Amino acid sequence: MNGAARGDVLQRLGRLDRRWLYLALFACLAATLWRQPLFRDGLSTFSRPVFERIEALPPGAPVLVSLDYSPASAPEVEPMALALTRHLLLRGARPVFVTLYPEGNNMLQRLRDQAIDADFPESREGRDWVALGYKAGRQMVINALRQDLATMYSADLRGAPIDSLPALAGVRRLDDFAIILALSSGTPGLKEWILYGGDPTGTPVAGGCTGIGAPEFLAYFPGQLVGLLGGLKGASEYEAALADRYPERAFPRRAQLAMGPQTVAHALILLFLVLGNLSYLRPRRRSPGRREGRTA
Amino acid sequence: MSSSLEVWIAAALSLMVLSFLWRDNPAYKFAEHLFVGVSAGYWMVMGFWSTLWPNAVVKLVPSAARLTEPAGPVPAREPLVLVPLVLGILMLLRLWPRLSWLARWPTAFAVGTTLGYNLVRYVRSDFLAQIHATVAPGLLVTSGGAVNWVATCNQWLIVAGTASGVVYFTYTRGGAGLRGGVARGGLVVLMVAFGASFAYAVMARVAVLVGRLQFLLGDWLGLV
Repeated sequence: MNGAARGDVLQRLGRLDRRWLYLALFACLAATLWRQPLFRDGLSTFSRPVFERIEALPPGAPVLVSLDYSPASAPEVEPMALALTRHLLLRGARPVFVTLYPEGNNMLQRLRDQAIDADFPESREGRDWVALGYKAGRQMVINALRQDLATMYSADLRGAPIDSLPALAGVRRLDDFAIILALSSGTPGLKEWILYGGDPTGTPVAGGCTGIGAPEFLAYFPGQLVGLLGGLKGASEYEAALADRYPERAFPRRAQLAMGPQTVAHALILLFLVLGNLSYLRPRRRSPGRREGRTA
Repeated sequence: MSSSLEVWIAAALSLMVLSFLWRDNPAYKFAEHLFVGVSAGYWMVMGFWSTLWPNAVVKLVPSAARLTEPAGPVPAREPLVLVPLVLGILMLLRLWPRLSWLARWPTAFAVGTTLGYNLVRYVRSDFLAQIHATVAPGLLVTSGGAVNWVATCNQWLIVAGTASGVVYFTYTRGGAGLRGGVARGGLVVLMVAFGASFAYAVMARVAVLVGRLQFLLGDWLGLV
């Protein structure tokens, strides 16, 4: 291909309708989902402390798990919740599920179906884990839990009084928990648990968040936040670590399977960026001072 | 292919929303309006049963608790709940122009208490603790007592990046010499931070798209 023809191709690329890019992205993602490649993954600096903290929990340790996300962010945050719940139950810890999101009870039901009932049918609600559910009040709920759990929750989601639940034996306030795990997609979420839960009581806070939220929370690591699962990558790292540590338990690897399409999409976006810039720069070189063509 | 009606409805609505990529169209508008309407209805119902019912109705009429929690304890009557209830009703008076000025009282109360409550926590956790975490450790040592030079360099890089970023915002006129150089360094740090944030945002959006495609190709069509 000579220079003129190459320039012509680049100019046409610059005028390409963006819907072709959407179609290319869809085709690549569909093909990758169909092939289901599983990339090896390992714990990062931020996710390793979460895994090691839970691994070091003594059997029966109460752990507060706050599911502060909605269906819109479930593809990213739900795999973390599933992996963390499986890890807690494998270690014999006592997860206590709460949520500051109105949609959180539905997320809790999905978690129960996919992780607890499916993988730990022998576990019993109230004895091995507790679902306290949603309470309105945002950070005020955390403030109340700091003083006394019973002021916010008189019963669990089934209506059983909390005094009758063996899983809550010895748990009266927030600082009775071994660790707070907050899985969040916005406000209220991980930040509120750090500011109103972890910092005033000294209870360690770890958690997971959407990719968009991750840069904000990295500033709290490692002092105020002991570990962070950032976006789908964080969930994938945790799933991989769980599979390496407990090879006898073949849990579904939802996040790891989603990282294949994620990688392909990133490569395609980078390719689009390079082509777009090439087509943008080419006409400028021919006629300096004029901005011809459009980038897709 | 799924035989569940719920899955088919969810798939149809997903396709309606994705059709916006082609162009704005009535199917997209329908899905958008349905989403807004259902969300508003859901939040209103949740607001009533999770806030108004337990915090106002049950505390004023304790026997009402039996309707939602037959086995739960009956709480004591709390007449003081009338105060926030009245403030809440005053908030609604904004809908009537002649009485809308009364809505300023609950608004002022809410803003004042929220400010007062949050200020202390934000100053301690988001300001002082962050400054302490940035500048406190001069030399980071391992558990064996040796200096961890990599971690120490990282720490000082953070200190330098933070300081140059502050200089960039403090001296926005630019300037020559050392001050201008530090400000330009701060600009580079900011660009790197914005780039990392943008990369995380791309990952988040692609993850949501992958989740939807997993639903459409897997749960709905059964292809993957």
